Amino acid sequence: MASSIENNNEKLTLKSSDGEEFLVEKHVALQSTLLQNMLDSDCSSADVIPLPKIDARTLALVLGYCKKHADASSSKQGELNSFDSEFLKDMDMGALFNLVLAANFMEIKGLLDIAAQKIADTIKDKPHQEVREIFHVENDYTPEEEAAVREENRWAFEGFP
Amino acid sequence: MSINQSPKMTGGGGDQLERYEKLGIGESLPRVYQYPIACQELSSILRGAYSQLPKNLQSLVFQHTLTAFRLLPHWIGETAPNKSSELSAFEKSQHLVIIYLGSLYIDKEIICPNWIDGEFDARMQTQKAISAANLLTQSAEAVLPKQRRVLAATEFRHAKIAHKRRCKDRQEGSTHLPQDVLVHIFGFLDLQSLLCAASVCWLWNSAASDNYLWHLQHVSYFGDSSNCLKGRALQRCEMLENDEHMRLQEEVTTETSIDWREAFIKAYKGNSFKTHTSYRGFCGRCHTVVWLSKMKCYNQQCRLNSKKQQITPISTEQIVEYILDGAVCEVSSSESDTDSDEETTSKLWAFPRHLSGYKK
Repeated sequence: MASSIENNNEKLTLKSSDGEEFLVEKHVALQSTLLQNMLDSDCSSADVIPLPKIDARTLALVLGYCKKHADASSSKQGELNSFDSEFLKDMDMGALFNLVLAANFMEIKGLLDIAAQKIADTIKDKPHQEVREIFHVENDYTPEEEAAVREENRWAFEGFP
Repeated sequence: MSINQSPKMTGGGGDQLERYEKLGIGESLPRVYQYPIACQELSSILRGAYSQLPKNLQSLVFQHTLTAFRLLPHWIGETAPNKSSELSAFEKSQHLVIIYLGSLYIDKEIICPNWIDGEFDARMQTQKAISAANLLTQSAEAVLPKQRRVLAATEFRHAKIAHKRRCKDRQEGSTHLPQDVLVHIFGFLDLQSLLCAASVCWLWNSAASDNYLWHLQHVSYFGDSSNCLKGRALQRCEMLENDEHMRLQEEVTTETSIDWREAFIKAYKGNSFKTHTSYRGFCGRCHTVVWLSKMKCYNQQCRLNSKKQQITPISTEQIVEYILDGAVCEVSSSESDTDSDEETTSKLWAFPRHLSGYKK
């Protein structure tokens, strides 16, 4: 019992790609499967854990999410749900992409899911030209290839108004 | 001439200084297309001639080197014309030189993942600039005396940091989402949106063809097939009674891993005359009618509570029922249907049972 409390107070330092350091309580960091595995295997010998793929702005958001979820007890599921839906509100696409990449890298399932869901909502029910614009994706199809892909997928749109 | 009035002239070596100034390196550096070439020249001069140059020219070369580093971060913001047709003949020839130079050395560290072959892209230009600056810093490292070397190294380091920062800022809002993340995102899409995403570009197409996604679609349209992994033998017996299943099984017998896309399309097309009778489904969680094609409940609260919603396809009669009573009867029953029993077995919502033996 005493040791588990001690463990909870343990802190680690995470370093973002742009060199900013974040002091995090261990139970917050454990929201990330990546960090959990690192701590399990490594006995936390390293003072600072570098996260070279995540910038400070994104890492701050990620840790905010982890803290909320680590601190909330399971009885506050409703509160967590409203936190989640507020969390990504008004976030621009760039930030959302960084967040989804960070969640994927750090293996934070819940965050990955809500960020992916939010991006999926943006794609949903939009014509592909519009999706390209929103996501700044370069169309690397030739017109023939694009027509072929659309023809191949036509079966799913038949009968739809 | 302006150089004659320059106080630096007093140190002698006017010919070399004059010739150097004629190269116009100072003026070339701020031009995006000439920058890589100017850097190249500077680095050759550093290596090949620096120690033999008069002090004032050494100082000028050093200043230009610093300028080159300082300019590096700016190229990210630079937008080069996208199409070669927009370039003047001179710029085209410059491009060819730059492309040739660029092919000699590419900075693997900051290489941008999505440049498009054959397009003269701003990103490509940036690569050349970075490569050239890297080369220049190596030359400076090798040739300059200690104090200047340190200054140049510091300047370069700062430039690189600033450059990366700008590069990152730029990339925000553009997709460099790797395929595994795309697949995860596409997992939240309905069939039509998924296929629309496939029309966006090749990378998205390949992500949208992921077997896992089609398994998901299969499950959401035709029910959970994972139970077939469990009591397979038992289910097999059940299934063998079913003619339709026999047919399906014959068709896919030797398959060890299922091509879910193919399986889905086959099942979808086979049922299309049925699905077209209703586009609607019922979310068992929040008790609302949703579009069947979405297969995900749109109710925000419902979505947050569970990732796996139970959407059951419903008939038009059941929608009416829903409107009137606010509820829908167990949809697996065939009470609202006029079909005969035999036909009922191939109805959409009854389909999973037949398909569960699909996996061999």
